Amino acid sequence: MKLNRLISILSCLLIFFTFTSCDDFLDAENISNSNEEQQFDSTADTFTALIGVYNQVIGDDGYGQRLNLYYPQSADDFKTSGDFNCNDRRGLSTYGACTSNPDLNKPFLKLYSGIERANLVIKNIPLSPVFQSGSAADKQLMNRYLGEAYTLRAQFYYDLIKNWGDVPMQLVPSSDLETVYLPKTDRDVIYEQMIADLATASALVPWRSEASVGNTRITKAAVKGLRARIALARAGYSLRRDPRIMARGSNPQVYYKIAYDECKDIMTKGDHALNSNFEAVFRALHDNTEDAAHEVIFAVGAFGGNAATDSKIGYYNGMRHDDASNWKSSGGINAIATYFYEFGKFDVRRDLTVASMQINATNQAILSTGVLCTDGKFRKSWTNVTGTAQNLAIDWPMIRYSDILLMFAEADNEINGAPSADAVNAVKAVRERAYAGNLGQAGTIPTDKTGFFNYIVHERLLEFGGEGMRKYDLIRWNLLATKIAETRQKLSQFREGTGPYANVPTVLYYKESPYDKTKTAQAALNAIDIYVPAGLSRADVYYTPALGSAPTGYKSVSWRVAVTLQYISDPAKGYAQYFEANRKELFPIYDDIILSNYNLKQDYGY
Amino acid sequence: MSGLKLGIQSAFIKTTIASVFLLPAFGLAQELIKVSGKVTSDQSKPLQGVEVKVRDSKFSTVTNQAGVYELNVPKNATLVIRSKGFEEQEIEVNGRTVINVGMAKFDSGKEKNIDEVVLVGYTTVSKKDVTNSISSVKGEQLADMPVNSAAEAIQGRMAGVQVTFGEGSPGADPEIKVRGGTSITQDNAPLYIVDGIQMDNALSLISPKEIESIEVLKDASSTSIYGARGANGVVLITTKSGRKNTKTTVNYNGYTGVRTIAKTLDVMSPYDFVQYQYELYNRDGYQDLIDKFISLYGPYNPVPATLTTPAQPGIEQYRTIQRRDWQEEVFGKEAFNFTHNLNISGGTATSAFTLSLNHVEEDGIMINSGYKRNMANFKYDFDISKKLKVGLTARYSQTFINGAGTATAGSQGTNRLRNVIRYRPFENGISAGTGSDEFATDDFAATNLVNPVLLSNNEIKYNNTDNLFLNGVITYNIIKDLTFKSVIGYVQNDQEIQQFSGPKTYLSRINADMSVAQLTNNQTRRITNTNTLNYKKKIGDHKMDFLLGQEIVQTDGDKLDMTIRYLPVSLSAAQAFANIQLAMPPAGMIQDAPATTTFVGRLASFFARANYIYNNKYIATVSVRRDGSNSFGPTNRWANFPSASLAWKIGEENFLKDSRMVNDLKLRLGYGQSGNDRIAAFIYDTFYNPSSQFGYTGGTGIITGSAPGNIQANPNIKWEATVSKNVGIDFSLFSNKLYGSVDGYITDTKDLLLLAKIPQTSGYEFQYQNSGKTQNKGLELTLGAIIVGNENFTWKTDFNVAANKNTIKSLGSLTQSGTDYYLVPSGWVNNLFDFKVQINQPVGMFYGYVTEGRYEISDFDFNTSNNTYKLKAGVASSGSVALGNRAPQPGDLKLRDLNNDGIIDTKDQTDLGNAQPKFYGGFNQTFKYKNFDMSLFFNFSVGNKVYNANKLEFTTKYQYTDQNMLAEMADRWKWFDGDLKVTDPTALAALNANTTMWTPTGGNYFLHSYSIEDGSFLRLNNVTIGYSITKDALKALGISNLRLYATANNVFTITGYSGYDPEVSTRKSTLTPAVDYAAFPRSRFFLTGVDITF
Repeated sequence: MKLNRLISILSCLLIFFTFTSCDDFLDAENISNSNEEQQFDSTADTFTALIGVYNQVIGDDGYGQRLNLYYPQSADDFKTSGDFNCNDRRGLSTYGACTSNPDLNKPFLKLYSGIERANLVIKNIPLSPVFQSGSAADKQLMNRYLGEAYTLRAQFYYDLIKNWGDVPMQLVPSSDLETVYLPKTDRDVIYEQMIADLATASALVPWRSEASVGNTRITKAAVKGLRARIALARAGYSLRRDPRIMARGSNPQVYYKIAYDECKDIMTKGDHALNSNFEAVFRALHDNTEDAAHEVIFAVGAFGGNAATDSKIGYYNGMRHDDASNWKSSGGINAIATYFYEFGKFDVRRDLTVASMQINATNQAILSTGVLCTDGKFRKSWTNVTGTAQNLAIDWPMIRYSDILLMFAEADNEINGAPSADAVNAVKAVRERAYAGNLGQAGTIPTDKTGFFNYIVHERLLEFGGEGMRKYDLIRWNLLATKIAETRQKLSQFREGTGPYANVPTVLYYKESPYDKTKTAQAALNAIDIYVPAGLSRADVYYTPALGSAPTGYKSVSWRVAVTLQYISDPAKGYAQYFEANRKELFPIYDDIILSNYNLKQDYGY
Repeated sequence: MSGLKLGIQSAFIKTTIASVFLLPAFGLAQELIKVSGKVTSDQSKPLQGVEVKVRDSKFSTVTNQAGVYELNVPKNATLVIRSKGFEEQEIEVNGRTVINVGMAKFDSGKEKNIDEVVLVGYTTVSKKDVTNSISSVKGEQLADMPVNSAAEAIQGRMAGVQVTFGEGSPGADPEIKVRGGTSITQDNAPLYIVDGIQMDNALSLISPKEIESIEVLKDASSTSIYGARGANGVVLITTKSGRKNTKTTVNYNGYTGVRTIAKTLDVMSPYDFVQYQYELYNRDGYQDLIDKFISLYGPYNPVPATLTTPAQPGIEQYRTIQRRDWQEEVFGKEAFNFTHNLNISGGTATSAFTLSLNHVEEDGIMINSGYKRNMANFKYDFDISKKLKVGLTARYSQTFINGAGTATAGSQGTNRLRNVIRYRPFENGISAGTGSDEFATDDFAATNLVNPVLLSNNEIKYNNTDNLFLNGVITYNIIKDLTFKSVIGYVQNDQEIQQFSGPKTYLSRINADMSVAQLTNNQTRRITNTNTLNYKKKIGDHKMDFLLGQEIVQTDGDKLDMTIRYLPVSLSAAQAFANIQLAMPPAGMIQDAPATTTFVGRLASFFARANYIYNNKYIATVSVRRDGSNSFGPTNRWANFPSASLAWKIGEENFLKDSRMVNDLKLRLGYGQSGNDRIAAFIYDTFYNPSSQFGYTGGTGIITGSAPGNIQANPNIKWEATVSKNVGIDFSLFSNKLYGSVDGYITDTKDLLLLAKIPQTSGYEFQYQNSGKTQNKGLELTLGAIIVGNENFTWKTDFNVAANKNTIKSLGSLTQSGTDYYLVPSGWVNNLFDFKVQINQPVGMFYGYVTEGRYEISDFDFNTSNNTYKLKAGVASSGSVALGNRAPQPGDLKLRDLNNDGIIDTKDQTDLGNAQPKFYGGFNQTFKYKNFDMSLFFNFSVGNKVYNANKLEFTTKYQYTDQNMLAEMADRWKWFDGDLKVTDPTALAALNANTTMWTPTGGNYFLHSYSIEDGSFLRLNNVTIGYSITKDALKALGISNLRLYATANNVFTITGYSGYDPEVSTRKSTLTPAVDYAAFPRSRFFLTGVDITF
């Protein structure tokens, strides 16, 4: 009887917590998380996993700031503002980064976390019941997501290789690996894999005209464009581990052919074209729209006003707006003083690419000095965002149609030993857009192999200034050391006012003028009241020595005299001061990353 | 020892005795006799109102004014004589009719140490029979110490229990470590059990006034019964209950006091500050900087009115300029405190109750800081029958902490102390520093200053915590010796954190200069149910005690996080919290999506314990527990935790039994295994978390993405096991005038749950692994002595000291890989890897460079043609580490080239010591002279190092100008004699003949030994003087006891440490302890109070 009472008490308590068994009790599900199986059991959930992969392209440590604005400096177009410090972005720009430079850490990690996320998608989509036995439409969607994941993974590896050379490669999720202590894999092996993956992906991803998405999502032309880009990198030079020299990849012809074919496909398809209005291409990036010609094939989308999904484009870099103006942007990237003069006088790209003006505290347009011109393709005042906001939702142009044309021409020239008519026409299309209205000034395009190649080298400098491509282009052509030396020589001439810079004015005279943000870059510059000596056209001011003193009512701004000896070779302020050929073409890997993986070595003399 | 019996007895023993021999016979077979007598105090004064009762019966009476009682009792009954403030006595009648009783004043610490019972987990045992290592503090020991938190009250009082407050802010959470802590990357907090129910952070939530006792189980032989959660020690808190058969008493205890900052840091005077700025601006000869100095501070030399209008007074004006002491303005508040405790308790023959109310209002010394707590606790015990008893506790507390503090762990952007120290030390009078409270784009992650008063008024944080605790206990005496007990508890914790960043704050500046509100709501609900069967039996010399139990702990939690940006700047913090819908994103901007997460924790357990005592000399205890936890994958859920312990009461052996010197001597041996399941849930598989932070835009707006976090799944993750071995001796000597215990232990933790760093090329940074190993070895000594103990004067002292040596034995996969260490950033500044985690070393090792001093002129070759200094060949340059890659100049900081390779680089870093003390402890002196009492409580720590990151930051230039430094940097290397730069070696040497410090370094922050200081200290933690007014004088007022007291807390600290306080730890991670970075300065507290009992 007593035992019965005990049992009744105990069972009352157990009823209070009704469980059929202990294991059921312990199997409580956490509804805030889902495992791989649950995550890929529908197209909608799979899509959020894919979005998680896209997420690793943007943000401060991706193409929101570091990968696109810090890492590509300096070439012969732009450099980072400010004095050298081996532990910050100036260390990167002057080729003097220490292994403890924190800017080298997070982007590297972010790329690998992107690879892991892509690997999870690539592994799980084929295992998904929706993929295996869903409707045809669902299956097509899953295929498309799979293709996008392949493409993003290739992009991540490409970004790793171009900055750090050989890196560890893994193609399955980390949990499926025996060990995650991976050594470096030769870049050519990774490139091979990516080129193969992208071929797979281009069969899975639809063309822009077949897909109802904006240019922030990957479409077939983006897959092919990236494949062409990687093929050219594979065919070109890069800094090798052993021996530590700049060397060309094996069998370049195979890869020129791949680049040629992919570009040709895009050109044939006709979903994308050159926008006759060069500026409109960049304006569209500022208001999250697409340019009418779909010239930007893939833009890294930025939105949300935070460091994870937005960019600091236009705030950190771009035309400078004084802190006290309606907009505030710091102008963190400055044009090399001579870059302005690489453009022809009639090239519409010049005043857009090199912002030789800025906005002062009273919202007036003023001129910038010769060393503080900025990358004007990005201008905070072109957005709707005012005030101190740092995240402006400006997208990054990852690949443009003009790049397809120029890659096509370059590949054609390499394959045929001289440019075909198609190649010449492709270059011509790019050139003539820049000289719209002044086609007579566009000049002629050489048709010999070397001349045509050199022409492309220069044309890419003009076309893509400030788009984070120049340094990597120069490396694959093995011209980085040459161009840095050449630029330093030009800067000396510029400072002295000799050679081609003999007539460059020491100072410019101007009046503060109202700024109208709706005006084109060129019109906005022209709206500044610059003193034009009698008998001179305004356009010639930059090519005519200045008066000895300021005309009444005009302020002066240093132009040629802004370039000092310090600017060229000072330990703190000098241009590319710490560059060493066959070493500094690549960044060191951040200390902590090396430390965490005993199989990973610095190499490259770091 | 005869008349003195234990003050606190378990209900169980009472019940047992009652059922064994009193109940069947009582009132029937027994003849009643009349017993009378007089009850007097130890000073022979008659005592009125003393309760005299027959044990386990309703027969009772109280003494009259003359101290006389009369009562009819059974012939062989036992009388229980009780009076508050006196030791309880039990006297066997044995047929006597006159029994006079002398009562001894209740004296904490004396005698009763010998006979008290202690809670050892699901049951109590007599302290004499304890086989494990347990520290215990009784409520009355805490009574002298008027503090608002229970953690403060036990600090330094128990050997091997380390209580530290990382900083001095109101309501700061204590860190409690038992025997050094075993975990490297996980929380080392012990498990808290309040009246049988698990309750996190219990010491912060319970008022010291309602604590009956605190027991800390230290070795695995005792914690093993708590299985999965026992590895870091178990803190058992018993709250006060009412007593049956007592008249209702009302006790009020209240105090009021004031806090003031205990120490400030010296900063440079305005004149020194401007002189320093002059040097910075003029040193490199850049004209723009030279001009900037003049525009900010005026010309160095006076300019007469003939040359400029108005005349410029020159730098001399800064000698007399009105100085602003920002520390005084921000932390200088005289912070008042009011604390009220009201306790009503009483009981009838079958029930007892207690009601406690507590109200605390505490100001912080910093602007906009403070702490409030309201609490009510009702406890009710009722005997339904002799066999069935129930108890109920309901507790509700509300805590409100105000204040954003000085820093937020994890973000140097919110270091508010920086502004207090580095902000220019004078008024904005001249145009100095225009724009210094603006956000500097180029270095947004680095230093930027805002007027500290302005900032303190713009960064608001409210932390509201509501805690509900319900506990029901049923005890059923099934048959003789067999008791069933069931405890059901419900604990609900609701936390609401509201943060507001107004204009000019960092968050505001990156959000269009508009205000930002962050709202976090957190709720955890925990249901605990424990059912035990207990069988106690004594047969001849054999005494047995068996316990069988089952327990489930079910924890559910949810959290809501919202960040509301773009609030109009016109709103105050309170208005913003009440009107978040007023937020209006500017064109092109959107709000972050709110986020919710849930938490699910399940623990199911079975346990058993057996205790056997032979001949009152030999004791053996074994226990085993089996736990299942949902933190682990289905295959690794269950684990067993066994333990065994032995004790030999040597004092009971014949050869010592009659010793006059040795009263008691006991040897204890313990061995046990306990576990730890404290890891993030759901890490045994790859789990996706949706978040807008994982999102991507489809043009405009954000599509929420899903991704795994930065911790790689580990399907094999399982329990961590701690095996500990303990040897201890308890002794009591010289008529119990000297007593104490010594314990030695070795605790080995294997399969350590380690958040291991893995190659980041995996896409993750960490993985939980089971492969780490740590060991703690230590020695603990507790001593108590009654130095003087006579009628008028007593002097007692309690002393405890502990030494613990922690060693990392393995670091999981890292060990297998051939490396034996990895570096960890403490995070006070981004990307500084300043701690080393290394095998065969203790956790928390500082890692950096050795400070050599500075470069002197003799280290350089002087080039007379261009007046430049070039480092001599063979002298290593610290340029790349310390100087931002600048070539060293005379006066620059010199670091030691440890490997003598001629370059100072990362290879020259070394271990700079660690935060673990060689030994630590406390001692308490209690004096009583007539009606006066006094106690002095000291605590100390010896041999621990402190990483003074404040000093590091506040003596460097970093990348900014116009920032003040600590006063010692006024004694830096000088390049300027007045306004003239000196380059000539002889003149420069003469100029610096009396300077000692180096030129403030530029470049990034790095750790060098200069900032590692000895943190040893001796603190007079508490002084209390009290006066009790004799009862006679108060009788008329109905007051039975009145005590007035005055207390000073944190009276003085003897230490060589140069920062605010050596007891500091601002980075809340086991791996990076003792970093003094932007800690809230500690205060000194003076108070007076009253304690009245009606």
